[in-house]
Amino acid sequence: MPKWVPLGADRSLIRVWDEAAIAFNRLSGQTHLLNPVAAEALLLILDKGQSTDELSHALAESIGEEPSAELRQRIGAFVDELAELGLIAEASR
Amino acid sequence: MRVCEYSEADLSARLRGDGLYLRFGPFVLRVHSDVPAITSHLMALYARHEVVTDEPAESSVAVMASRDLKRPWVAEATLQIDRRPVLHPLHRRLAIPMLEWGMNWVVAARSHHYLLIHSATIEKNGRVAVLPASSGSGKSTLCSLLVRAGWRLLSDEFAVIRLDDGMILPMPRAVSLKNHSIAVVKAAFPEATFTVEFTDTIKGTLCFMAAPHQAVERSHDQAPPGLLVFPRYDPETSLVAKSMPRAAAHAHMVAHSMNYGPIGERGFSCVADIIERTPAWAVAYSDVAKVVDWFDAAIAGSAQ
Repeated sequence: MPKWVPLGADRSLIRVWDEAAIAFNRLSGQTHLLNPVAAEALLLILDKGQSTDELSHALAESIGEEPSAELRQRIGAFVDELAELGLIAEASR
Repeated sequence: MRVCEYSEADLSARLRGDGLYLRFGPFVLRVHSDVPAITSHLMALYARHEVVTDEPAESSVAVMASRDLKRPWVAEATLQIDRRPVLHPLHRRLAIPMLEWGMNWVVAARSHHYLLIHSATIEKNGRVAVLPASSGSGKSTLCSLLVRAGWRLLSDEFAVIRLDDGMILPMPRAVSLKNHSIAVVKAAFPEATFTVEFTDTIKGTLCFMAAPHQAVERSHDQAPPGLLVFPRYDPETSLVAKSMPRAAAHAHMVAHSMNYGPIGERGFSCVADIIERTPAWAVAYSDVAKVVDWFDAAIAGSAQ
């Protein structure tokens, strides 16, 4: 399963506050507003490459949910969105 | 030396010749003009501003008399930045607003060593209230009324923020007033110097007020941000102040920045650092006395 790795995101350019987070994409120059779960996903990916399944398990534990198929689908959707924004990318094989 | 220490003839000669180098806080602008109204304007509204003789200028701003060959009977003026026209010619009666617009343009377009926010900035007790707001929102009126109540004017147009440490630098210039705010501010400052009113501009009726002497005298006194206020005049609301979440405040600051894009990462970090240590509020108001009291309490740390 492919892993997600940082692309335009950088830990020094993410600020996490109680209600939301902001991330600066140093490749595009855009600033993005993230909800807390999306911010946590991004920070996990910045720590080390994560597959969508690994992210689902880690985030499920964090938010106190079971790692269900529905959760995996939701996380897959916003991970795709983070990739569309250029913050992350699939690691080269 | 200051503008008021020069004779009208000497100022006019400098403006028509090598240029008049004027200091506005951290900026030095070289001003040229062959329009007599500009000389009078500088003498009246920039009397206490420093004329610089030993520093280069950031850019030059020129308002020069011109005539359309097809309508030679119409007296026009052109605005030039670094000797290049930046507007189509306007009627020469608008020479003063053109100069003010030109100075704003130069600062906004050429000052990427600072973060610039389109906002009023005022200081009390050593800390600055930054009021980001769009043109026509009433920020200059509110700013003027707060200055009347004892706040020091840093600028009614820009927050000039040093990227390394977030300190806010004064840039006192003539205060720009529009439409109904003109009468309000004239009533609050009967002793101040105002230009005539310029009608039929794209922004309606304009008028400019000289910055208070104290603001000009203290144009080297920088201060840290202490309050972010996003004001909105609402005739239906006496005063409602809501604490703004930090992510939203960051987004609003960025939306009002003149140069966040060109500055890149440094701008992001600068805004984020300010947001983390500065309370942010959205304030809707129509009661001037109440909003002034609110600002005084807020800068003292006790606002609700």
